[in-house]
Amino acid sequence: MSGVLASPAFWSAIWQGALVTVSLTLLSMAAGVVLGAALAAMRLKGGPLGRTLAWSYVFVFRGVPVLILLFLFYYGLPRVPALRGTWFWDLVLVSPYRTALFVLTINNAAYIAEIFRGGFVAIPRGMIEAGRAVGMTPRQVFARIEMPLALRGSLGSLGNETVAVMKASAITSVITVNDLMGGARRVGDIWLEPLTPLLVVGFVYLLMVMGIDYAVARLRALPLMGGGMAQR
Amino acid sequence: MLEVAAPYFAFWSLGAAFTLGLSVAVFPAAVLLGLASALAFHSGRAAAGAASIYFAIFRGLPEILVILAAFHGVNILLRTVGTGAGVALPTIDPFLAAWLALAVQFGAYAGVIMSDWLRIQPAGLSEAGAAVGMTRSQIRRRIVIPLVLRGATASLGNLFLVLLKVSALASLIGVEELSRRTAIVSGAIRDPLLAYSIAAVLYLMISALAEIGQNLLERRSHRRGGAGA
Repeated sequence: MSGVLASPAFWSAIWQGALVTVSLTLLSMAAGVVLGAALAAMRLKGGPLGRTLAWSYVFVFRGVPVLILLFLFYYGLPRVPALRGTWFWDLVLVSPYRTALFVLTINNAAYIAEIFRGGFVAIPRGMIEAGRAVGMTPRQVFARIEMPLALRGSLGSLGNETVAVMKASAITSVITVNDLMGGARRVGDIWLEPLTPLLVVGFVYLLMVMGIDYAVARLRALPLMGGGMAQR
Repeated sequence: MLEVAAPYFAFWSLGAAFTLGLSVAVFPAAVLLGLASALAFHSGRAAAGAASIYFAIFRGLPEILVILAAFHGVNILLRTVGTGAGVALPTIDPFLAAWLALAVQFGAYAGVIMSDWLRIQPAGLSEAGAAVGMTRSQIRRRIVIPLVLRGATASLGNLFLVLLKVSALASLIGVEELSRRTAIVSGAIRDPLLAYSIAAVLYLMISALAEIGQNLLERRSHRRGGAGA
């Protein structure tokens, strides 16, 4: 049992892997928030065409398992000759890490779009009307009332989504990404110890969730995020 | 293009049926575990602490890790016990390992959902039960549990949709569901793009089917009376 635990290669794989997991999670959340906000805007104000497009996007990328998406992008798309030499190839398909980041992002944007849409729908009409009544332009109402309230209301769900993305990032180990899961498992395989690395890695994932929860609690305490309403 | 894949459609649809079957087999166990842990969570005793540790652990562990750990863990346990007793025990069936892992993990998710519903359940309902002379276990069986299940129907339906997709990870320990069979077909026709695209469509179809079922169920539970929901 102790063989792999005494190996420096194992602990270095854990450390390197943790960095990969954190960067996959944070980058995919950042990109997912931008893409998700755009999708939510299309869904709410995009007209019939925009609404249908955004709805289809959410339906497809929430409905297909991350595992299938990963295989599709990692094994499937590189077989398309037309993609060779395009920006998509150079930017995304060149490495397992980038493919993983791309897949996590398009998947997670579908969920974030729904979170934001829920945040906007939950704003009481009276708030918006009050803004109009004191003479704000629609753009000011959006920037000063709708946007802050929707963000504040979505904060808890975004925290949960960050946890979900971190958990999903463990799946990227199947396309050879050396994240926390993948790196540690590969060292464990050398020592013929499949279980021990999983237990250690599980503990690290739990620590990271505590970190995410702490960050969300700190954000909640900010004056911008405070206030009584729209808290969930 | 599709004709290459056509001979495999029967093989494939069985995989799709297996995916649905695995989730259907896991779900009742997960709901029962969830209900038990949610009731424990609100019991205010040592059991409450155990339930909250259960929730916290499986909220943070990736499903892929739990599935692999269940598979390897049970096998190592069987081997140790077998060596100790001097007999050769068989290794665990991957389906059983996946069932166990998913039931325990989704039991925690269901538990969080149901304990939220327990928290907002008006105390007056249980008090009314006590007033007409019901015992504690009668109140639990006839009032608390039915109302929680009805209230949580929508969230549990969503959880089932999540389960359908997460069950794809069972393919990694060799369960022959849709994803595993897709990998096999992909190797046979040497066209992963086509194979995984078709798999994606099959998953969407299964999800759409489950969603229709969920809507029917929700409408039925609403018709049974609105109180408590």
